[in-house]
Amino acid sequence: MAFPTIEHTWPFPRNADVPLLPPPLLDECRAQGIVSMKMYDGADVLLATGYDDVRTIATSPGISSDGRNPAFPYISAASRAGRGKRPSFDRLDPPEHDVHRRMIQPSLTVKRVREMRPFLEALIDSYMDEMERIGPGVDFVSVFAEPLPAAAIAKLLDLPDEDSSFFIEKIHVWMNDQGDPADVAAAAADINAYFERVFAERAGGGGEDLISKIIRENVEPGEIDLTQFLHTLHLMIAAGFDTTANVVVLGTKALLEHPTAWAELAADADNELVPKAIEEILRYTTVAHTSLSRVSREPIPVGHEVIPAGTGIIASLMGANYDPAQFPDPEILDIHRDARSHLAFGIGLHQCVGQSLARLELAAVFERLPKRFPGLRIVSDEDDLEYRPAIIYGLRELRVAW
Amino acid sequence: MKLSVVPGKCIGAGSCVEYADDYFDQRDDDATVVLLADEVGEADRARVERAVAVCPVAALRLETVAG
Repeated sequence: MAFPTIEHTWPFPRNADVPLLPPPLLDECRAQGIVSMKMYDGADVLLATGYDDVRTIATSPGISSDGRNPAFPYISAASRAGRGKRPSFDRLDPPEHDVHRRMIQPSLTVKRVREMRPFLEALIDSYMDEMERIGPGVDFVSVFAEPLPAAAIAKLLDLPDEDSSFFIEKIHVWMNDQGDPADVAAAAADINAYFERVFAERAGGGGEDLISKIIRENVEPGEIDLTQFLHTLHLMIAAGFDTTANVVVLGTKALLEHPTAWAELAADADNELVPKAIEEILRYTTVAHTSLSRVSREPIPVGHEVIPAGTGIIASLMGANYDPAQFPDPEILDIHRDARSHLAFGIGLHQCVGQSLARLELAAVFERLPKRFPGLRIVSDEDDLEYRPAIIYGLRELRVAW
Repeated sequence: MKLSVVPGKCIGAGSCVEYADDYFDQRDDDATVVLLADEVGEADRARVERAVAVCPVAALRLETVAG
């Protein structure tokens, strides 16, 4: 059984005229079903871009996320350098994966996350105050979008507020898939060194914060070692900052470029529009735009095909979220559509462990920001905007006025 | 209708709680699902069906009870 081969390498280039929309090649591939393409190192991998195919693959019992499997499709040399050797739990299969997820998920349940709402609302209000203090022309990315998830994760881990900017800087380097692999590895090492200091401070201290509890309940009894815990924390930081920040930035841009969406949200006194708007923003932005990387441990039936065991696969979340069979007129941002079945957080047993926190942050942002700045507009020149070449898509800077 | 949990699949994502926190809760120790009720009347059917559909690992079942 052969899949059609396309002479392209992942990730595909975007159309610079419509930088928020997926690469045009995704639609071409979807028309052919599952195709074979290349990764940066010449490896042949399969690409799935249809919603049903992506869902089937990512939830198949025979699928693996094992980052140590030689067939695992890394996006770039830099991403392999930062993560390949001792993977965090996004690159592990059960049972090892389950141990790590079970340690982290309880701090991020719907109930626990909702307790953070007042904190997040106060933070957002303070960032909006800061925007006004700095005045029109302010950089929305550095003053609002990045500090918010940084502070949220720091609070979750009970880290000092002043350490947030350290993480922002390190994550930028770590997640840059065009970066020098040595720089990427160095950033990873800096984050590790920081956490090793935190562990030393908290071990045996009897604290009730997440890090102290995990040291006491999982590390000391020998269920995991400190290095594994380090990688889990590393992942939480990386997965919690860039992602949310970029959904906020790109989501705000997308809403402002829509003829009526921002005004509707500004007038939405009871916040009734926000839940659906958030899901549509998640779908439309799909910031994990090069994901999902998987490898088949067993043959995987997908539709009428079978993917052989030992095959590297990209099950494209962006492809799925722009499949017109699932989301009619997908290139239109429609804050009233039911986009809840989107795969922006992934699907299957690795689905984003922080999605409740992400949704809460987004809800708080889009309930407040449009109402405080109903006249918000972008003043950066589109030609000057730098879309970050990273595993998580985003913008380096976005200047706004009101 | 009868609501049930497929053993061993739940990853603690909590999407079910979002739609029906009167039917679903999460355990404190590992975040996995706890059913608060398993009989679902017509008035709640659509909402619980939604909760079942959003589960990322298909760990929930809602079935018509025969007879």
